[in-house]
This record gives sequence, structure tokens and C-alpha cells, in this order.
Amino acid sequence: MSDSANSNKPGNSTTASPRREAWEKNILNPTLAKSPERQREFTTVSSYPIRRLYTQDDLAGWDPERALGFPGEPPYTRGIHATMHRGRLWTMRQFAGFGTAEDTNKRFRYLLSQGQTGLSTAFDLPTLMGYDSDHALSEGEVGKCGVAISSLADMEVLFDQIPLADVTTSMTINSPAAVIWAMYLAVAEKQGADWKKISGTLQNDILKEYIAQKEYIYPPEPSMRLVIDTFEFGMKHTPKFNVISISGYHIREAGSTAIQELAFTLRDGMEYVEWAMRRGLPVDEFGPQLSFFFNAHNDFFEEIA
Amino acid sequence: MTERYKAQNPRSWALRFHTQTAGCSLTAQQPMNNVVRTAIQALAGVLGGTQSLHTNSLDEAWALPTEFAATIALRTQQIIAHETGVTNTVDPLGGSYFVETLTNEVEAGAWDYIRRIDAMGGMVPAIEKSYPQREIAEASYRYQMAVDKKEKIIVGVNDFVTPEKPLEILQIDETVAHRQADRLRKLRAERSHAEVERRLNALRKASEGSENLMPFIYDAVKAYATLGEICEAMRTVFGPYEEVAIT
Repeated sequence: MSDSANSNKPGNSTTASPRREAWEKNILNPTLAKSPERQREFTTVSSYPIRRLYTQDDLAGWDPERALGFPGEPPYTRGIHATMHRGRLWTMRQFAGFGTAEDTNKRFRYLLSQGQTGLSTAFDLPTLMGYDSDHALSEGEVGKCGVAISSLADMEVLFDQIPLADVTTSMTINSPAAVIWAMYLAVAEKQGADWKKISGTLQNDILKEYIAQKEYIYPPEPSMRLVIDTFEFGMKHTPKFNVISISGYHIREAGSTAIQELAFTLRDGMEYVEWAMRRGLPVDEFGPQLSFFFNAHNDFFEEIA
Repeated sequence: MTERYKAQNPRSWALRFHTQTAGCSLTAQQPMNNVVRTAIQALAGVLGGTQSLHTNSLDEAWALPTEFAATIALRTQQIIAHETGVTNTVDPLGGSYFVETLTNEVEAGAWDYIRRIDAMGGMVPAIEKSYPQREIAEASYRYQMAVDKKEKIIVGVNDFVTPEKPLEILQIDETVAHRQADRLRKLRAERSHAEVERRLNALRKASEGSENLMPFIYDAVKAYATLGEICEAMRTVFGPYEEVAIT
């Protein structure tokens, strides 16, 4: 297979313009004859083939009005807000958690003092698996990969001197998400923060645990019930809280391609929507409380796409 | 959301997302290189329009970040936000032939998977058949083969390798476990045992029915029932889960 033929994969069914054909004949082919390219095939980090050059020909039939639109309006391809990062920067939310609640509270306050704009909590493995720090299965893992939280008393220490009315907190917790969230809401209540106004994100994505991360406790059916219970509770009591962060990150970390990460995550999202609708929850009431979490790997353009 | 579930509220249509740079791309070898990898990955996340971002620390292939490493990771975001100029316009790459074509192809590929999962009856049945697990395992194997054969270069790992000194990393010692065990002992002694039992029993009973469990969990938490006790109460009703091994 010649180099130029190879470059016409994958699925490059578009017909080259006369201008492009002239370029290939007069400019490209003499160059390739003199010095071949570094590799026969160029692929993304996901092994997705990349062609030599992309031109208007690749976007034949592509209508920018429909596909791109404008920022802040459907299909939101150019961004979900009209002014995007000109208006407000993203939340700088560094994942942190280790040792005891005191240790992590200190790191949280350090990061906030350094200009971080949101919190993100890493829990240790026993907490993620629903075991107390003094359970036999917790041995050797307490506080190692995140903070150890066994009760509301630990949670009170974790957010000591951090006003939950003002700071948004993300919590990476899945199987025991309902329990950790209840602890968070109890701390917020004790601080006098209004549940209707507080915001943050619960990961609460059990499907990707079965698919990739493997930190599950119960079988899928009761796990999904617990997730939908949090949706319903959130809809009624904490309208600004993201009750789930449907996550591709862990799917990608388990070795998936970018396309698999996107596909499985979106399909997980659909599964949650369908279960919630079956419970009788109106899509437009819980819909705005769903959020997503994606991985940014090495291949620059593949990640942007 | 619009077509499939007939959502009317445009706020239901917008995909709000958090981004984290890829932990699996960090290398234990030559860890300072991770600062550069993370910066480029974070830039992709920002140009992709993220609402929230975590940048990994250079030492995370080894351990949880030290304060030094955590600070550089935060500074990386601040440099992208305040120095690079990529926030000066909305969606700077919109309309790029390459980006738009790749976006179309990624979208088409994703829909192809979604339709296959729909045909299996949804994600829960697909998981029970190990379908996504197997697809990921195969992709992961292909990637590792490409790295092993040096078809893909990982700087400092399969090419440009140098001898190195070990990195100073965050150590978590066993006193953490002891301090936690002491606190739990004290908590269990001080709280009302009867109240905890009463609320855990209520949760257990509710788990057998179809009521929303959040109010029961909240009640148990407020009485200082522990995470383990609450999860165990539900485990006695729901049972554990054993995965079918991928063959």
C-alpha cells in the first residue's frame, strides 16, 4: 500500500477537490518520493488512525450552523455558556485526601489559601468499600490512598473552618455515596448552611464501578436503587447539588480508548435517566443535577474532540 | 436528553463536566516530565470547554502528592488560566477542519457502541454479560502491545531512559490507623447505643421495601452510626456482588 493511499483511511469517503488533487500531484508526491514520512501510520493514543491532512473536503455536508451553533445555546458544541472562560474560569478543584480528617482538613485549607476555587475529596479504600477504619479488612489501608472517614464525627473535622455555604465540594465516593452525602449534609446543617443553596458534586456512579473501578458493595439492582434515591432526595432538598458525576475517567484509566470512554459514559448516563424516569422522576427536574467527568490523556486533539 | 428523553429544559441538555488529567499517563520514571504531560492534558481539557479541572501532581505515579507537588499542579492551572491567553476567546478551535472531523468521528464511534448496548437491553444487562469490561480489556491489551513493540513512545519509559535517584514521596504511617481506631472506640462509647440500633433497624426494614432510603441513612448518620454499620445494615438485605470473570 502506498503512503498516500494509506493516508486516505479511515472511512475517508469524501472526494478530493481538484485543488487538493493538484496539490497531491505537484507538491505532496514529489516530497514523499524524496523523503518518506517518519511512520507508515499515525494514530492517536487510542490507536485511532489520523490522516495526513484535514481540509474542507472532510467536512462535506457538515453544516456549521447545525453542528456548531453558538456558545450557550444547543447543541452547546461551542461551550455551554455564552462567554465560557471569558466570563468565569473553570473551578480549580484539586483532588486531595490522606491520613486522618485533621491531615486532610489542613491540606484543604492550604489549597484554598493558594487560590484553589473548589474542594475535591479523596477517600481511603476502606471508606470507598463501606468499612470502618477498625474493621479487619481495613488493615494496612487506613488513610493510605485518601482520607479515612468512618462517621459524622470525622466529617465534622474534615470540614472544620470551611464554610460549606460558600465552597463547593466534590466527593469521590460511589457505593457508600448516600451515606457520605448524608454526613456532608449533616455538617452543612450544623454550620447553618441552607441545603437549597449549597452546591457540590457526588460521584455516585456505580455503573462504572462494575465496568472499570471495581469498588462495589451490592449487586447492580439495589445499587441503582440507592443512586435513584439520591436523585430524588437531591431534587427535593438540594436543587443546586450535582447528585452524580457520570464518570469516564476510570473507564479510561482501565485502558479504554477515548471513544469507549465517551460511549460507555454516555450510555451509563442514559441508564440513570431511564431508571429515574421509571421511578417517576421528571427528566427536567433531575436533569440539570447530572454532571460528567472525563479524562484528559496525552493526545491533545483527540481529547479536545 | 432532547431527543431520547424529551427533556424541555435546556439546562438538562447541557453536558457539564469535570476533567482530570490522565493518571495512567504519569510515569514513575523521570517524574518531572509529568509536569509537562499534565500541563498539555489540562490545556486540552480547557480548550474542550471544561467546567472544573484537576491537574495531577508529578509524584502521583508513586504516592499521594506532597505539598510541593500539589502546589505545582495547582500553579499549572493558574498559568493556563492567567498567562496562556487561551481563555481570551470562546472555543478557539471551533471550526478547525481537523478538530471538527475528529469530533464527528468520535461521536459516530460512540453512537455505534451506544446502539450495541441498547440492543443488549441497556447498560446493566451489558455489564452482567461483561461486554464493556471485555472491550476495555482488549483496548488496553492493544495499547500495551504497541508500547512493548515501541510503536508508541513513552518518554523515559520505553525510550530516552536514564538512571535515576528515588523521588521523595508522601509517607502515611500506621499511626493513622491507630488514631482512627481510638476515635471510633471513643465514639462508640459516647453515643446512644439504643438510638443507633433503633435507626439502623429502621434502615434495614426500609431496605426490604421500596421507600427512599436517604432519610433513613440521614437519621442513622445523625445518631453517629458509622459508615461500616450503615453499609452493613443494607448489606444484610441487598447481599454482596460477585463479578463474573472475563475469560
